Amino acid sequence: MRTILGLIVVILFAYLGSALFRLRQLPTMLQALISSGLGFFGLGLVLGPHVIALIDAPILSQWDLLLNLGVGWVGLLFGLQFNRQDLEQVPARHYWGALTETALTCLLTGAGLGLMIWFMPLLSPAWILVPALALIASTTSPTTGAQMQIKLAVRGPVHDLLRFLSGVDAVPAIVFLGALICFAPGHPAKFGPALDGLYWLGVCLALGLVLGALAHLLTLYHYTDNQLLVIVLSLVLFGGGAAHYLWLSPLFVNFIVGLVLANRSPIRIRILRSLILVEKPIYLILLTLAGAMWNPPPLAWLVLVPAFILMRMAGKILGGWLAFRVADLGTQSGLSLGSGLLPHGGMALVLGLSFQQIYSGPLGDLVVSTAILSILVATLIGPWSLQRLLIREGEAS
Amino acid sequence: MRLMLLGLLLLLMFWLQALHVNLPENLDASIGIIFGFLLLAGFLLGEILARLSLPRITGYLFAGIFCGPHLLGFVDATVVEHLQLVDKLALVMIAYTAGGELKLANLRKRARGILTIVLIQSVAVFVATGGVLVLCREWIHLFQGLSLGQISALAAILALIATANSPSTTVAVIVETRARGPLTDTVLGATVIKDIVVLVCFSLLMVVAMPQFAHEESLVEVASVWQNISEVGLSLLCGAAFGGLMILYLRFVGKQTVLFVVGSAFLLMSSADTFHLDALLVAVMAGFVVSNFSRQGKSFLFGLERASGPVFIIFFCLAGASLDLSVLTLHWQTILLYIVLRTLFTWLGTGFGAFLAQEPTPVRRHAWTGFIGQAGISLGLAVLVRVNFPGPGAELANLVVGAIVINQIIGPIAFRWALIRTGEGVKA
Repeated sequence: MRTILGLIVVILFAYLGSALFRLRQLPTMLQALISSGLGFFGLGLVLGPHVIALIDAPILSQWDLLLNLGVGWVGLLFGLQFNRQDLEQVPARHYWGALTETALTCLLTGAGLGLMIWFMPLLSPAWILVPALALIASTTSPTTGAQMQIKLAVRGPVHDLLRFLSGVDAVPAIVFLGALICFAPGHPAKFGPALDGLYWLGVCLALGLVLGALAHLLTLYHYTDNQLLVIVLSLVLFGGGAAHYLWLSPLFVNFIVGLVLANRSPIRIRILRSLILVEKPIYLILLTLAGAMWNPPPLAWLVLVPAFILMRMAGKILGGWLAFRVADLGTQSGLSLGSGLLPHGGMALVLGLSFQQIYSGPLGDLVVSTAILSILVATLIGPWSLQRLLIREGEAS
Repeated sequence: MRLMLLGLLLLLMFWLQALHVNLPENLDASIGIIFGFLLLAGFLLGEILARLSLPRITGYLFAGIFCGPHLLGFVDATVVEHLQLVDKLALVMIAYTAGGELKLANLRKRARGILTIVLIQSVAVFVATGGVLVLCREWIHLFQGLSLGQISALAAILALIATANSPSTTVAVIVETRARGPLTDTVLGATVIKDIVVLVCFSLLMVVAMPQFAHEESLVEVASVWQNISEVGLSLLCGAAFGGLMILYLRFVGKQTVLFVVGSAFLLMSSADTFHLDALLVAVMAGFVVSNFSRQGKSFLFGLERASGPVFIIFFCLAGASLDLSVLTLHWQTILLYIVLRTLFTWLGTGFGAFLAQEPTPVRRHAWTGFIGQAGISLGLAVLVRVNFPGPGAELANLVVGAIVINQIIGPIAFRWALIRTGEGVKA
């Protein structure tokens, strides 16, 4: 019975999805909502154990490796974009701007959440959430900017800097969340809590570098596109699996592998292209699985979610404004510049899932729920605010 | 160099195992690393063997055997059990490919040849192998202490399992060599049809064989024959309906074909389990319908091709890891006799069948190579025999598994050689 129901649900979603795709002149918000893929999260939720249970708990436990694949895939893809020669062409002040914006968002969100937990004893077990959510808050989705560029033929320095900021501001989040996971309880005690964390951070870096070297050597041969895809898929699964096996972050390990490939592999672009080719299916599978695996966190903890969303917005607006000043772009727009950094996307979810792999109880559930709700809100507000900003700056009409 | 990389990968795996963190959830965590390792090791070994003009799937099988419980021990029974879902999913996708590769126009052209070969070869292998086994009963350990009726029953079961092939192996070799032509069409068509025939005949044979060991079971088995026949029919019907639904998606939505292929395979697998259908047959039929009765067949096959690399590797690696090598040392003389008889009569039966059907020379000379490989269905039948014949069943199952180990290594090599020799396939 549940199979038939599942079939009906899948057909319904496929039909609705295709019908919406065919509609022209959709409002920007709805367009952004569809392209964010959040519908697949909903599909997963319906197919999952809480509704019709077509994807039940035993299946989910066996599909844990798909989660590793999705998370690792994003890490590798992201790392592959950081080629030293390309990075050197960007002025140093842009990097300082990005760092300022990320740090300010992190600080504001972290401080806000920290204060809430301090004053509400009910939330006290959730201390570890503060750095994790602060790091998740610091990321910006670059997709909205890219879509805007296509839709409105945007061109100009503000848009360029916004795209740059949204393209790099996830790096600190990946690195610091990866490091945070190295210090998580669960690793065998060897040298004392602090040194153990450093030891596992060293293992994490070594694993990423060795796998990166292996990936580089593997890609020295000539392969067809399909073979290259198999290699990349195997590497991501192995890297993600190895990281998960050692209780480390699959996202961070694969990010290092991506960095090595980006700077050593002669076929970096081909690898990037083959990754992008199946990026969407993998991301959609990840979203569906995340939906199926989703568990509601304790109700009292949900007060953190609106606080997170508000603090993130404040952080992004202030951080964005400061970033533009540091980058010295000479624009007059003031605080509204930061509103171009409100879009939140896949990276936030992936970071949340990466955290959930280690903290699988209500803590993990809350992080993923917060990320999803923040993406939803940002999907509704982000494109609109970005479009307004670009029109005001005269870079779009 | 690739060998060095394989060595490096092994070292890395040993290092990771030494670092292993003991956490309650680590059973699932180890699945991910083993899955990735199998893919990488299988890919590398496949590439190494391809340079030696051997099929890649032999490399995948060897990778599975090396990593399996009898050698390096990375993949144990628990891991294989945990990866069953992936294994089943891979099988459904291979079955899609098998159905998709069957072209109605070619089948119509080759129908006479395929049916004649299936008939003559199956009868030859069944009668001759069974006959020789009964004649040699004095020297076969399995038959010691049994009556002639019981010996005949077991010999008939062994002979019937000898007629079974492996469509997945056939498809993997065809895809790897990108083969096209009469030999390819005949072997693929015959392998798929033989799978259905063997399933039905096995049920019939059980009705005759079971009373030799336990009389009271016979009535139950008569009912199960009809059940099996209706299962085959229903599976084919549902496969056609599922294929129809797939056509609708490809026609009206047509996006994310790779995702759709994987998702539909999962859905098909779950549905087949729920409704007690044979997932393999449903998928073959669905693939056949999409490929032959819609304009979207090409995009469907493209989606399958993109997903086929990792699917083949993981499927055959797991098949290799689940092969019990220890049975080879037990009763190796009987296993050898069984393999020789099967190969000899497959060669004679296929050649004669092709001659009667006036098939072209490449089919007459080389089609038999496509019927050596043995895997899934034979293993499944071996399990059924083990369960239904307490006592001799276990030894018979071991014998069958031993033969499968060898046939599965020889089969792909022979078939790849034949496809390249006849010019239907290319060295990829």
